[in-house]
Amino acid sequence: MFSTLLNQILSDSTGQPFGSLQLFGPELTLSAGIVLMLLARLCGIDRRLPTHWIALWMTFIAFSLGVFQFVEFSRSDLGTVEYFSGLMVFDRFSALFRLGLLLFLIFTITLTVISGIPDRDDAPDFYSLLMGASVGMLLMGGANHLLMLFLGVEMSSVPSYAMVGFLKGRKASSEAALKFVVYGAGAAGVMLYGISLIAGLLGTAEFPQIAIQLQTLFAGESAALSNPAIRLLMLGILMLLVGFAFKLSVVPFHFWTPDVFQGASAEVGGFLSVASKSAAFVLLVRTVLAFVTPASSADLGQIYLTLGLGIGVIAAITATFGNLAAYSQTNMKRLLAYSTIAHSGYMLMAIAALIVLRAGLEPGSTGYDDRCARAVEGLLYYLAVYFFMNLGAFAITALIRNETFSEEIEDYAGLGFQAPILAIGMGMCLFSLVGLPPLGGFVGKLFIFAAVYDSGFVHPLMWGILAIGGLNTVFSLFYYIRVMKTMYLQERPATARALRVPAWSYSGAFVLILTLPLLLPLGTAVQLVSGVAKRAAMSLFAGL
Amino acid sequence: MAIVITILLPLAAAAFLLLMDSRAPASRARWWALVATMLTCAVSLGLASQFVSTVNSVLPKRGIIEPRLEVHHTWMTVGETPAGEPIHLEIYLGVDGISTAMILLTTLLCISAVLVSWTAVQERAAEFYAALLVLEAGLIGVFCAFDILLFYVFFEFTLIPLFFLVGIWGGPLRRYAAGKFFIYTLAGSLITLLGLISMVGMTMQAVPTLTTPFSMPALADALATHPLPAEVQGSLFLAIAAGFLVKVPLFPFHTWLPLAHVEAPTAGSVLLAGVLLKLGSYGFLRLCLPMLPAGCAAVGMPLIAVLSVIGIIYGSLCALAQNDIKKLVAYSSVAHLGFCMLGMFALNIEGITGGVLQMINHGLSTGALFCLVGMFYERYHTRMLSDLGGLATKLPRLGVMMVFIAFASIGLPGLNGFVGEVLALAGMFKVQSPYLNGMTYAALGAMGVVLGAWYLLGVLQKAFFGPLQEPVHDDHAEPILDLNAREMLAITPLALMCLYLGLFPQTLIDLIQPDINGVLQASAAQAQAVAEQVAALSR
Amino acid sequence: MDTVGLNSYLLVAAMLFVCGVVCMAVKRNGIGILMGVELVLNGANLNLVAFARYTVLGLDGQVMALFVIVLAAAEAAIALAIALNFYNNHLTIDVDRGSELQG
Repeated sequence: MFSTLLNQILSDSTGQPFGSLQLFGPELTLSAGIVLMLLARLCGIDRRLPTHWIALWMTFIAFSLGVFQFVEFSRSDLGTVEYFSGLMVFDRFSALFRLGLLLFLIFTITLTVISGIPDRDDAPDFYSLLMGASVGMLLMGGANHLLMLFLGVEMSSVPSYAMVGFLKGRKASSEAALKFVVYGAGAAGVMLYGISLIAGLLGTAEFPQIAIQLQTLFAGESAALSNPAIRLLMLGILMLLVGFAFKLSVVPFHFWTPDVFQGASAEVGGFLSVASKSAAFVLLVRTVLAFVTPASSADLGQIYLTLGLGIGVIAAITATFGNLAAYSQTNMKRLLAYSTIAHSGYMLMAIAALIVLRAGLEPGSTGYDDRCARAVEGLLYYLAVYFFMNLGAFAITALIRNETFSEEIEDYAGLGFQAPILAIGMGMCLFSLVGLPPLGGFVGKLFIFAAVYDSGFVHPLMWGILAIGGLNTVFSLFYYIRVMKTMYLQERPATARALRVPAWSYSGAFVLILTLPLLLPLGTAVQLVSGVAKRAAMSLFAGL
Repeated sequence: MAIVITILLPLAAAAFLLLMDSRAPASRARWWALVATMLTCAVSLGLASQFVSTVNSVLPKRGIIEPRLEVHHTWMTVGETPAGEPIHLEIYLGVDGISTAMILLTTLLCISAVLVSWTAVQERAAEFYAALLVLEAGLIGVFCAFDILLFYVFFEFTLIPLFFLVGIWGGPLRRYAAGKFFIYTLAGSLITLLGLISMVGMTMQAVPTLTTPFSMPALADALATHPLPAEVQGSLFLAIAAGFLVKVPLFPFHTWLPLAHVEAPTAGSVLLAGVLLKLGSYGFLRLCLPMLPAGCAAVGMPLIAVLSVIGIIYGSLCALAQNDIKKLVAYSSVAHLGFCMLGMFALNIEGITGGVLQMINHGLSTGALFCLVGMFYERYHTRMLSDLGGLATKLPRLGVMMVFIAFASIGLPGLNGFVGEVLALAGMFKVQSPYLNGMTYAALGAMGVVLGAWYLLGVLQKAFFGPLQEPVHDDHAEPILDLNAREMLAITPLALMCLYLGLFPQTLIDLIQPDINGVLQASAAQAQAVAEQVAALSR
Repeated sequence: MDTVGLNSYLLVAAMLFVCGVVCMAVKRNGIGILMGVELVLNGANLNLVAFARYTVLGLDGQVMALFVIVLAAAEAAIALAIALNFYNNHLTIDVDRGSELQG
């Protein structure tokens, strides 16, 4: 493996259109940015040039590289390119995810600059961690090998632990970080053990090989489930899923989420809630597609179907739990944490639909392939909407905290008239999170529910899950409305500090830029975004 | 184009008001709002005249639902039909006779709503008028939308501005009222959404070639030739009706209404009673009657008839027992909309025509009643009947207007209420269905007319005639004056429309008749298709 | 007991894994839990190396094990720093004492 790796890197750099190092450009740029920032502090440059400029510029360069690659790649007729000897894969799906994530990173850095969360001394550390975690997430987006899967998950998690504990003097922050690292490390360990079992029993760790090995394993056995090797394999897959469930805060592995989000600063919360979740979902899609292919044996098909339905049920439970638990929260960050759990549930429904649809495929047929692609498309669209609405909610929480020094919902009383831009922005984000038309969240939910509806033709249980998803929209209404009611229908107490956040300030402009897409391109001009999402989703299925 | 302008004009004005310097005096905001609503009304008049000239001269009548002056634009493509074509969701705007009438009602009432808020709303005036204009845009949007999902989008969208109107500028219990109103209606309409989507899904299974299944005309045409099985239609009807029943509201689902009305500011009450409640009956008319005629006949007619009659009598009795005039008018709305629904679910030409007329008439007269109650409240800071008496001598203009509008609302012949109620009851009277005896229900409904006369005349007698009795009002020294020019301007157009529609109802009937024929045509077509299927099976 | 086969390695790895999981579940001391994590990771590593030796997984397994060792070190470094920070704030590393965040 090493010699081929070395050879490939060397030969790649000699003029092929898409060599490994070129394709890895954005990640390398981010890594270079980390080194630069740390060196800058070593030489004292950060006294003259604020570190966030280095972070912003390097991310922007990485983003431009990403755009360039995306355009170049779209022009070429290549479906997928494996690089680093098959450890990583590049297709429209990963290219699109990379663009989204880098754009998100730009937004997050801008937000931290506006809200001033890392002070001057800590800035290099903070941005190193942020960009390091982002590199990990980019790896997750392009993983094509179980090792890269694990590396990506860990590389995104480990800096996150530190970011959560970044407010060093705060008791809550350190407690959140400890809980996060302890549970996170445990989940990672279990996941790795699962990976070791899968890799060993299948004799391969490369995604394209996994499905083939699975099919041969099942083709050879008549009474498949009584075979200890297969039972062990199932155990391994379950352990792998535990790792994912932790990352996605899916019930019953969600318990860390509220504590961590409440303890961490809202900026970090937003980053974890959006970037980390989207990376995990993208990786989950890849993993699912690696494991689940049109089954050649009835046993395997049954297992796939059970798996899909199981995930669907868990998704429904997660959404319901998140929404019900959010109801009694008084802290905004904690409320958003529960809302994050609920939204993980919604998005997991798309994954369940994907598995169920694939399980319903006859081997060799492509009848449901379009529908599978649509499930992924729905997920991508939802992630795009989620990017804006959830980051918006966290960002406004941070901006309000900067003004009022409070994240308690009751202290939001009367903000609607004192800081209209923040309150309107929060309203748009929350109404979009509910899924009220004409905002982006409505369209996103529509796409996901359409995919779940499609999968109901394979197994009617999915329709039940769809109904629970619909009901959850009603549940979620109650607590989001409570925030709006506090902001608009209650008077600001006379003793409370008055705040002025005009629309024409950095904060105001930032909120506007974040929330307008919810109304315009994501909510009404849907075709713009859904076309891109569709092409990206289709590229995953081109090889079949 | 006129349609797009009618929707965008109030929205643009609202954005302008919000961006205006918040320290600007309230007077500037209200002048802008008045100009905006008047302009919108003018544009909608232009739209209506354009529509009338098109209908009468260019395009004769046509399919089941057929909007004119359409605007098409692909909104998104989601999923695919069983035949493998992508499904198009469209921004599909248009007007037909019924929606033209409703749009005119909306834009007219909005002018009055601005005028009655003139002095009542001093705090955060710019935001108030912005919310009002956004609400107007949403309402017009509902009536223009001919794509089911777009219809739903506007339908839900109207909740948000009204939520703020009630919650910020309302009475003492405003927060509770706003929350209750919002959650009641939204919960109901989510079930409606589920029902609508299942209806579309099932139609797609039956007619695989349909590429725009969410477009109302296309869906109605497809269902006319391939009707869904009767029992499916029944359950779909129940699901779709859930949201509309709450919105109308019919008897057991009405509890949010009196509360919201009492707490809402006058302008909010005017639009809530005048237009928002009609969204429910309009929804039935657009999405239930043409699409699911069998379901409407088998499940809808008995259910709605019973609920309407209970609503009529219960609402009237509640109104009789009220001391608060605003609450009384709110309960009278429950009763009046009972007539509207009773007529509509007679499922014959008289009944539906009566129902639609009742929608318009109730909008005009109850809107005007709420305006008057608001003017009253501004003067005396009370709405309690027990505090008032003999005001007609002191406030002659207010008294005259009140008497006139109350008569219109009671349904005095020669005024608008009469035509609608008589047609609705006549329609119900004619019903000979295995599920219910129309005559009984019509007779019970007619009892409601008597009760309606009783409680409204009671208000007149108590508050306006008899010995003068004024509430103690030591908190403000200024004298109590009669209606001024602004208030007359707010109320006169409504009163004139009441008179006009009472004398010449045929104008309105001519406008809406073709569309009602279309609705009935749908049920005939579906019945014929079913009969053909049965015949084919027996052969 | 003539040869040591794949199964023996897997058994040892499974024991390590179970010990680690039990350790994570039972210990309340933060450092103790992290030690449990190390046991789990090493169990997995042992699996990988054994599979590399005995099955077609080949060199991939060894390389994966190497990467895991590096990662485990990085994770331990971060975790210990966080535990130290927790200790500075709470004067204990008993994870159950963290009670600021509940609800």
